[in-house]
Amino acid sequence: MRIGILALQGDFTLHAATLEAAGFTSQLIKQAEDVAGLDGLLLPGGESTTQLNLLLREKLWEVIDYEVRQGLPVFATCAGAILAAAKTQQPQQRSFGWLPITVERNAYGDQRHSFERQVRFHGSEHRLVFIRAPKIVAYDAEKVQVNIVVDGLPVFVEYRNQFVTTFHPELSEDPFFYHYAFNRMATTRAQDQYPDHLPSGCSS
Amino acid sequence: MAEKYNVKTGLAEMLKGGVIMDVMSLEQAKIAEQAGACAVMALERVPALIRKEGGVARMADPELILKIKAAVSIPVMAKCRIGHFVEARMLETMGVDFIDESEVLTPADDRYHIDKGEFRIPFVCGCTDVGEALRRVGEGAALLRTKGEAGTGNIIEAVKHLRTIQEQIATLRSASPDMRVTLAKDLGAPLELVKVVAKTGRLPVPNFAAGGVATPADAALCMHLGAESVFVGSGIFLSEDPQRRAAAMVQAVTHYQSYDVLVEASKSLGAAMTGVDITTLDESERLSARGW
Repeated sequence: MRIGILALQGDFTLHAATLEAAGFTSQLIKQAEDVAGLDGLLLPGGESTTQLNLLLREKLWEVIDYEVRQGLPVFATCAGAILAAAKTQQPQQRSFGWLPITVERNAYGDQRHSFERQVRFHGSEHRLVFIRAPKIVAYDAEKVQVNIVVDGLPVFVEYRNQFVTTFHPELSEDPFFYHYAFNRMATTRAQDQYPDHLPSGCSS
Repeated sequence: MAEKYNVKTGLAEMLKGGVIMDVMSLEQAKIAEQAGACAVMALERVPALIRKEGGVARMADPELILKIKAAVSIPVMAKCRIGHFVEARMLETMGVDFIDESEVLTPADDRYHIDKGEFRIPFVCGCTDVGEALRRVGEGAALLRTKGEAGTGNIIEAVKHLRTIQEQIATLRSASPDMRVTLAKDLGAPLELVKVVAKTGRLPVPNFAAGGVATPADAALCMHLGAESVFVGSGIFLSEDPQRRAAAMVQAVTHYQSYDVLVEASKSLGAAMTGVDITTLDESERLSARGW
């Protein structure tokens, strides 16, 4: 499977290395022409305002948004979660609006409040690393499936063929989440289960 | 550190492929954020002004740092003097996201750097070669940057440091295990870290470029030479059109391999900061000679 990684700013090279180690092919996306022949899209961590700024400047916004609304599967981590969400807070900023979730930026506070947590999920142990992480403060409970909860807040959710983590699977070099998201993507995409439209994005 | 990445090096990873801009006011911080900076460095005087005005350069006024922190949503860094762990503790208490133990400020200790592993907040430190880089990592730095020659608008020193690091890594990589102890001794670096570099072919933490970056082309050059992000000090807010130059720098780092994008980004930016020929500097005026 060929996974495109948004490579404007952030730790995209680490995601690429972890994906490759997990057996996927990675393709860095810097310009519109890089978004072709992909089986999945990965939005990496980094600074969401910087990424947003470059997305709009490079005209990548429309191209990526179109592909995802046509059914391209998505795995969004940390800053990516902010870009993918229907709504953002603190401050409110433009987002793609793919998933019915509301994400609050830097919600745990500054770097002093970055943390790690060990959880058990699907029968195995996982080290979750949260860096100036956002919080999923609201979601459509009928549509969004919550997979992992930390301190009462969802940190790993899925909606249709879209997966969101507020932590960084690439920092623990944990192949599990890539397999969980992308293997399922392969299954669901083949079944072509997405005839209806995704919710429209919120405007800035 | 037991794991390869922790919350400190994790933040350094998030800053990759971006531009960290020196800002001296709230307004500049907002301009930087809007232009796409991935972090700002809050300080009272950018290096070129420190160079011009002279005197002892110290940690910025906490009031300024806190105001900037409140005004932007991107990470805020601030500088403390080399060895001044009290300034560092104050920065940690204020909740800055990264501390730069910086040679741009006047050193407070002529012998010891800060024991950075003891802090909750990650540190970035300057380096001129692999030995210095690994000494800082040994002390707990989560991020490195070249020293370059800050406040000159002249890229030659940053290039020299990036090239030196590349050459030394190549030497370590090709050295047989029995040669590594002597190489570690020559570099003045911890053997364990020398072994890591020899094995992986890279420094144990990310390395960014800093010192003398004045144009989008300078920023792209550093990326080609192995820098993973770029700090721009005086280069933006001492130029004619900071807003446009800042945005162009951000574009240049992302698209450093696309020369057509670099050409577009570099058009009509107004005058860059006035530069300084390094060879005209007195040894005592060289900031990169501070620290060891």
